[in-house]
Amino acid sequence: MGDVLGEGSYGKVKEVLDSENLCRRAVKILTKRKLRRIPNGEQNVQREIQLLRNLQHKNVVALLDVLYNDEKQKMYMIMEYCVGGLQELVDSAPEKKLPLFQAHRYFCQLISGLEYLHGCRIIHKDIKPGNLLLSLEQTLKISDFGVAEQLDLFAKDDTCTTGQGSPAFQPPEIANGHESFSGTKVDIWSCGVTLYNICSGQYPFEGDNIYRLFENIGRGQWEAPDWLYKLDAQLAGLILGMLQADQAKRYSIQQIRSDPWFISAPEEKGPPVPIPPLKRDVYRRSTVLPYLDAYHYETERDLEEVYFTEHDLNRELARQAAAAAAEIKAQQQQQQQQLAAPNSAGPSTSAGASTSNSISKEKKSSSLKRRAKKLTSCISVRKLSNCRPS
Amino acid sequence: MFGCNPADYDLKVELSRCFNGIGTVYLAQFLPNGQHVAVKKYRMDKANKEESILAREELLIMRQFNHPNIHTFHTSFVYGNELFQVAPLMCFGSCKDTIANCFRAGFPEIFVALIMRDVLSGLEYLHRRGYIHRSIRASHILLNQTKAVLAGFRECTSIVAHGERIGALHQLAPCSARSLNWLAPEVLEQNIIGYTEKSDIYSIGITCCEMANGVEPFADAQPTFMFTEKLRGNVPTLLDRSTCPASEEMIEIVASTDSDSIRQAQQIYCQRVFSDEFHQMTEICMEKRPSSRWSALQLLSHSFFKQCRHTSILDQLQRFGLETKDYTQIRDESLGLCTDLNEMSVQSTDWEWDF
Repeated sequence: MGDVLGEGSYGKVKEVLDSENLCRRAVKILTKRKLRRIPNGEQNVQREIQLLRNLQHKNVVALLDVLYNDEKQKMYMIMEYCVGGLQELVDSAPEKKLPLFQAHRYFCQLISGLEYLHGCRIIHKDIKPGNLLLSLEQTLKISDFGVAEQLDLFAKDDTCTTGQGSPAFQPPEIANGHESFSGTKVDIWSCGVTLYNICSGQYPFEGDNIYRLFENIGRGQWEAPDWLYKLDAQLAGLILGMLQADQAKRYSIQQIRSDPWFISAPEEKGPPVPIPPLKRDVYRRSTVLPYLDAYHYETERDLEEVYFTEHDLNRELARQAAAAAAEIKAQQQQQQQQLAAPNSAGPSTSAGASTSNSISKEKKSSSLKRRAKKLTSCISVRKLSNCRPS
Repeated sequence: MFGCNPADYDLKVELSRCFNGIGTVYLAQFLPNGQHVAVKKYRMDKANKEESILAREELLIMRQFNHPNIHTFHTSFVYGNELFQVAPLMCFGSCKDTIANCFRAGFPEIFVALIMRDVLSGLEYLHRRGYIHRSIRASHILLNQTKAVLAGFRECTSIVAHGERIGALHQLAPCSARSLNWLAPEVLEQNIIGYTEKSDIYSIGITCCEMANGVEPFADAQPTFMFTEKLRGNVPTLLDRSTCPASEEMIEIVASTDSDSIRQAQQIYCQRVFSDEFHQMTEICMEKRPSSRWSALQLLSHSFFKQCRHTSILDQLQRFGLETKDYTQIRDESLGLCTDLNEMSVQSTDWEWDF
């Protein structure tokens, strides 16, 4: 188990490494104690698990396994690993906005994931950059189904009655407190706000507090500002279509799919915004590694007690190798002397000497190697063979 | 030439099982012309959705290739709930089988050179076509009298998408749990840098060690330990007089506690000498930094392969007295009669033809 990736109201999310197949995973740790404090907490989690178990799409985060630990009163949801969130990426970008081509790429994936969800009768209700994760391949994954709702199989239409998402991403019908509203259109509105947010770094509706915010959202039809038209007229048209106050006029997924900006491929200007480094690690290496290192090597170090640096070890090795070489040289000289000494006894003794020689070498090298292996890893054993004449 | 009627194939001996027990490889005879082939039968009712996709993808990928050192198949067809794949018979099976049957302490160097030359030219072809193999190991290299071929394309993937070469891949292959010991550190790391076709070269290095030593590297180690060792740059070595370790460490390497077999293996290792070129080539393959590893094409011009010039696999097989059997004589009578697989002859179970 590695470091904490994120923290929610339900519990922590940590990075883990599957010890069997070495896959990086994320695990959501839920404690019973915390769940009880939240109204409907346990029910919500059970519903989320039920929903996720049946989903399989490349733009929806996959739930791989659920484990329970009764002793610790904990529940572990093992999910596929994502390297970062869209929110993090936007926050790290200059002016907190993404270049259009990059935003377009993510938006297309978002729509494709959302289309799948709606096809499965699932209303996410909380689409926002914070809930959109990115995998290592920069594939967008819709996550956090905490407030999602699955429509009844026999429901006439997509009418929903509750909305629990983030205020800034809520449509006018929720802001105005309507009893019932179209669920899919709620998600479309949130997508529109998300797109606006990642392209511009701002929100279409703002407010000092939730009342002001809802007041602004519910006031009436939103108009795209002039600078948005200047940025990209087609984009402004699409956002306007998605932010229609009237549910009936608001775009459907099919309409978005046939929108000119959606179809177009904005020109790539400059490099995309990279995923920001985590704790100064640009490559987002597995945070499990230090723990693994400690697990596999710490015990050996404790046994040795003395801490050698690599430099010390190199010097020690060089010294021993030199000593071995000197010894071999001496023996060779001896052999040569023996060879020089008269005939028949010569070959057999020299053969004997060379075998004993090789045995002693073997011992020496093995003892050296054992040391080397325990302490550090960087020294290749092959180097030792250089000093040997054979 | 080969038909799609299962009745035309006379299944003779079960050679091995593969793919989590879904696939079974048989030695078979195609009755219309009497030719011997290898028939791989998948029980698709046992496969889940992902596995059936993998089986299909493997066949589709293999169809793309045309190279003497890439394993091919004659035809494939579906009969009932079984998928048949008819392939040329590689009479010595995989290199892993050959080691287990004939060279317990590993192949002689000349064999490794000849086999690796074939494998590398196949791999060079794959890389040129924009594919990464991702599971190169001795059990995925098949051998017959004249050549070695690269097989096992279940984890093979293309690094070309929409007509463009993708910078790097990041995720592990879907069922790579068994190939972990051969994978390069950057593949296992799964970070933003990702990996490229150079990861196959690392696997080539590990496979060289496997074939020369006769044992799978990191055989006994925990996967996590193998991972940290690779990250620290620790790699297996070719075992010969200059590198053979003391008996305590041999236990780790040979993966057995039987002291006799350890001493025996140690003796063999201590007596032989691998050329400096061989040592150098495996070290180049297993460089930790992918950019300092050579490409398959560069490796083919390495001086290690000079020794292949005036010889061939056929010559060497004859020198070591390996001959093919007369297949018409072989018949496992139990195959037709009993369905209980535990009663299969012992001889057929120690084959591993996981291609």
